[in-house]
Amino acid sequence: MTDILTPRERFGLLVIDEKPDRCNTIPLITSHAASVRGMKLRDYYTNGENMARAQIAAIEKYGHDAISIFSEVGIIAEAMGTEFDYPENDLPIQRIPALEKKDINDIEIPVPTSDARLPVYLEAIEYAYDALGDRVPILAYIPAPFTTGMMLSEPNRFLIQTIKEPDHVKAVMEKSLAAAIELCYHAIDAGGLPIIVDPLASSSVISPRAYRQYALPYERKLVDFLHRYDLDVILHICGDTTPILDLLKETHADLISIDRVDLTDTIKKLSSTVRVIGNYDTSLLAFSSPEEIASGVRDMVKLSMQAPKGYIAATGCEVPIHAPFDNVMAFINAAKENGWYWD
Amino acid sequence: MLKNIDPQKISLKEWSRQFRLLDDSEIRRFKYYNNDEWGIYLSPPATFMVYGARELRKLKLDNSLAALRLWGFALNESERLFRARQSGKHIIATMGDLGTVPVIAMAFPDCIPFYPDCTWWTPFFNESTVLLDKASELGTPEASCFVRSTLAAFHKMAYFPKPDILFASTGASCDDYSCIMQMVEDMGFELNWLEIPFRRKKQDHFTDEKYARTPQGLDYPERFETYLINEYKHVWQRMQDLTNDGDPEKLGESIKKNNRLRRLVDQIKALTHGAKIAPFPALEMMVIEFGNLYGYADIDEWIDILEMVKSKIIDRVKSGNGVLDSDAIPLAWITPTADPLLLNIVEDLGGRVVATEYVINQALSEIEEDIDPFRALARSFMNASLIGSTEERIRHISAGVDSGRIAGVIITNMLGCSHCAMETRAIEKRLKNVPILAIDIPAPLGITEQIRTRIAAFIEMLK
Amino acid sequence: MVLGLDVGSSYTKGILFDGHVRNKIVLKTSFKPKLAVERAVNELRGYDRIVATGFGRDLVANADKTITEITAFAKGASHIEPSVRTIVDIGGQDSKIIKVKEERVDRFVMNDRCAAGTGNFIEKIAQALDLSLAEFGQLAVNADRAEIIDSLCVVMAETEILSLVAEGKRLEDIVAGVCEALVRRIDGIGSQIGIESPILFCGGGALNPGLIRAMKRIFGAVTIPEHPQFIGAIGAALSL
Repeated sequence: MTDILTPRERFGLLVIDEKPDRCNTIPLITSHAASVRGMKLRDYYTNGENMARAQIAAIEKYGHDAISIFSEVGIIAEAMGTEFDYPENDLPIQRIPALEKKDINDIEIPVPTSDARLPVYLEAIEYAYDALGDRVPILAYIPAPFTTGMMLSEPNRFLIQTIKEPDHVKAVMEKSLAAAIELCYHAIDAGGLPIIVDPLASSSVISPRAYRQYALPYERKLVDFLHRYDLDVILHICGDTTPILDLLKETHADLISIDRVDLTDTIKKLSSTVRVIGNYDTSLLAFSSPEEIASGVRDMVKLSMQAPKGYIAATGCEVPIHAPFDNVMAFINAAKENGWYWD
Repeated sequence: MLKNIDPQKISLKEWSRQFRLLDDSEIRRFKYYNNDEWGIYLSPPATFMVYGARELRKLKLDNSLAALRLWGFALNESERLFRARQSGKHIIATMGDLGTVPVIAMAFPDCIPFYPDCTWWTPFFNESTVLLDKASELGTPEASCFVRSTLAAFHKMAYFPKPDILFASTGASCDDYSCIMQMVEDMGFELNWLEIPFRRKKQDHFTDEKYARTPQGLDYPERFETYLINEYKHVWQRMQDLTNDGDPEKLGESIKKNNRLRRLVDQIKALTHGAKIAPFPALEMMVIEFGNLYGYADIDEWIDILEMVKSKIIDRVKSGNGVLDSDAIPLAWITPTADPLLLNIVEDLGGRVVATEYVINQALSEIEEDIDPFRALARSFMNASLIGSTEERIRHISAGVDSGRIAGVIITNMLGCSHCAMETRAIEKRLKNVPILAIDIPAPLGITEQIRTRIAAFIEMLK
Repeated sequence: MVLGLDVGSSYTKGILFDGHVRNKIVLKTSFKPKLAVERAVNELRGYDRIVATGFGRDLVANADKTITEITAFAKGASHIEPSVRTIVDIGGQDSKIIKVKEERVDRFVMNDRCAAGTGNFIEKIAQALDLSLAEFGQLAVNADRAEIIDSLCVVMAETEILSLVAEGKRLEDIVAGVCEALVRRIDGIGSQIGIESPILFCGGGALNPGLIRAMKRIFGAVTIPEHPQFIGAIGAALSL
């Protein structure tokens, strides 16, 4: 079947509860785009034009349905003072967390147009929007407050603080929320649709109690801020979310992107009110064959097409940087072939 | 919020900054179809830009809450139509006649008329050739009018839902549009055609013809009334078949409601065009005029918005404030701009639009309420801009020129519009007493520095 | 002392003006208008204020005023030839015909869509014939007659000219024919507003003797100012 709609039109129908020609196919092709363009990772995440050009090259190669402006979840924390190393062929590595040097009260809310690599992100959004914004949605990944909080801290210490120093953690959350809102505000003006990512709030990292207490309220505040704009909000949490699946509805997100969770269960629990995104195991993209991927994706899509509020075929987590191109292509082709809604 | 700000046109980013100050309660106050869940439409321009309306990055819009409502509502139409269908309403496509068939459709319960041919604007708002390229692929010649994007929209079914009924006019209507509708029919859509007669003037070689005159003073052969009444009764019948309803009293009510809208727009135009300093921008004024065609698929909410716009304009006129300089050069504009950016540019360069002829006269004039409603509709349609001579079309522009209110006239020529190509010279000949600038509207993203220079030079010349 | 800058698409022209032209400069604009503006501003010193015109007028960051080239030409031409009624400017990328009344623009038309009515037409044909612009102009003056070239489109005209060459027609006559084809096009565009004498011919095109000859053949008397390229810059300087 040949596509009838552009990715922009397809996504537009999904978010107003209409069935598009076929299901949206948006594997999380983030830094993998650098490989597509044959670019060193450092060149990708330190230069907005490079990031956008890599994303555009990936769209041209694979024909998936959205641009993903993202490299790693530390961007807001970095702009708030966490120091990172920039290896040439790897993603930034956290060196000194901001809260190891400063008190949370001494940390300022970053200015997205000038602080750390936030301008890189904004430039990437704007460049991509200029180039393809009329036909492809530009997703701007925004780290949620909890994830930023972890990136501002020494992770183990922060986890202990969630139990022993709730006031400190709340202060960190408030500031991280303000920073995220500020970034969203600029990302929207640049043409990006914010997608909230909170991987460090998954049950692989924190308890459902800590999720409910610290992550959920701030995810919801961020979602509510975006709802003021009448934007459709995507929340992505990679890792295990089985224990908090029921709570995800309370974030008010319109589209929920899941990773290591049973898909049937998720559809049953969520999809009467939200659109489900997910959840092909990304490790398989790195290590299995195109044939295996095609068959796995077909089963996933066939099952998820039943979701009443609609579905986006995606990977549970980011597509591995060095995933073989044929494997990624196999995912996309299989999702397109099996995800047809129209006669 | 936004109460005590000086009127001006502001950029998308400035609107975003201003929008942050709005209370949630203010945002949730306005909704279409009175629906709380999906009917909220008050968003900053940035939202629509994020969803693809790319030209909003360049356009400067009025900074009032009333204007924000107007834009939110107009730009939300596509979603509104889908929501209408989802909530069980009938979607009635009314094409080509520009302002009469919707009045009939509104007389039926839960019927939402709209104009698929208004997809014409989309390539410009989106700065995109997606629809135009698709239309070419589907077989329309590249040199035809931008209305060909409608064909692509029917193919894609992503800009409006599949209509329950399609009415399309033909005859003395736009030729490219008619051809495109024939192609839509060939795509499998069932079209109900209405034939529109040409409003010929009284001339010796038409013997034995009795003539009548519209309240606006245009002559037409009287038998056209009977002819059009039949066409409209046909429309009525089809609507009755669809809805199992059809109360002739309701047609009178629909006429009254549409007249209320038309009067309101007339007042807004008079206030704006007559003010010493322009109280409202030309682009918003164009959106207001075109709303007369069908109330952007929720006429009640649209009327409410315009009431708010009107009181904002009254406030501004009273306080002597406006969005342009007091020495802006008064201009008349003939035929719609297609690319909204042109209106912004003309104002930025020192012009001010004080009269318009956007080829929708039939939707601007009031429908008579004291005669048979079908006859009233027929007589109202006889005011149509496109079905008569050029001379009649420019009559009210000439009146403005003669009274000295208009310093110059801008005519926009549509690429591929045979009508425009023929008419521009004729208009130039007839409007002898006033300088005229004709601009060929380029394809989306095609406004060049040279077009800007030409407009700038024209306005410098008039200063 | 005013610096008048006319940032055209092909050339940037600058003059120092205090009622008379005190100094002047012409620079190729190419695709680097900002660079040309910078050089002109640096090389013409001793001015108090700057007025910019031409397609790149908004690139002159420290301009005290900007006006369009249409208005500038009307002012400049009226200063040089107060009785002028029509200005014909054949520029690199566009040409303009401006009717003047009491030193102000009365009506104007521009050709900016198609190379056929601009200096670009001459440049393209000269290239195809492997001639420099100077050689082209000189050859045209030595023509006995002008060959008829009907095509208004550069691409079509090229084919037509090559076939004339193949037929053994004199190069001088062909080149003169090209000039006349261009001026006929100008005549066609100008007829929309009515070309009236006295006519002032300016812009880069007025440096080409072939075009001057063709202008005179078609319009009769045509005045060529002393510095035809600088009319816009002079008009800009005068507009303060």
